[in-house]
Amino acid sequence: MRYLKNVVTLQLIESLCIGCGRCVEVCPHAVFDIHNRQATIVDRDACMECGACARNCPVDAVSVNAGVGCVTGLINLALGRKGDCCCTEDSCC
Amino acid sequence: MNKSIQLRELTPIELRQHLLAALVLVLALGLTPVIWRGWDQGLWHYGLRGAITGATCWLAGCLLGPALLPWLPGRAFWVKGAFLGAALAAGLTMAGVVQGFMPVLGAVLWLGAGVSFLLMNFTGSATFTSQSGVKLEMKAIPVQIAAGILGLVLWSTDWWLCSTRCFNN
Repeated sequence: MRYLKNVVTLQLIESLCIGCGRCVEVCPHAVFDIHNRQATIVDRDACMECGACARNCPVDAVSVNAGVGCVTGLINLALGRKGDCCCTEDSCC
Repeated sequence: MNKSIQLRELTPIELRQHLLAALVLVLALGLTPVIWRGWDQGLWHYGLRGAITGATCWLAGCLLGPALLPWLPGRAFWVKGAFLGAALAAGLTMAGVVQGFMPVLGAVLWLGAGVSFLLMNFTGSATFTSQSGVKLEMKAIPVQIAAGILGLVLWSTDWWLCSTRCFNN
């Protein structure tokens, strides 16, 4: 199944990329591929903003506003609740 | 593994989570017409229809919606839910549970809004949703609230505005 088009905050600065392939390795949705020793985004809309690529990129060429895509969590956050499903902007418990 | 434990683990926790809200909705829709129409008409003609539709909203949003997720049209969860709710309102109309122009219009609106909201809560269990997408989807919440209130008002016109001539049972 596919989610919304053109919404994710994933950014790749190709000039910084050293082509190590770590992003391809860690991405759970095959968003990246390596062409000519350089990472490229091949399936941007498949990104679920988990943040694994940005966290593992050794040269900070990848950035993404990572977080959990959960309405309940965001509502709980907005209401200031704390509990099993209370996400923060950076992470989810 | 014990079969009953398996079943309990597979049942969506949302059913239990929203049980209290569902009971309040079913009781409110079932009993409010009694104030205007008395027990006989109010409960058996109008109330029962409301209770069935309210229970449909709960079951559709917590069980049917997630089960049918890949086949419901649209990418956004709120669209999928609104479609399912409206389709169920149409189904209940064809089955004769919902009758009359205002109640049908009302049911499409509030059932659509209710199922849409409940289904949106499954964005957290889906493996392909992103936070940016979810934030975009949440802009539908004011629309859902407005549609829900308007739908319930239209739905209830059947028993508090309509004269006894409308009573066609």
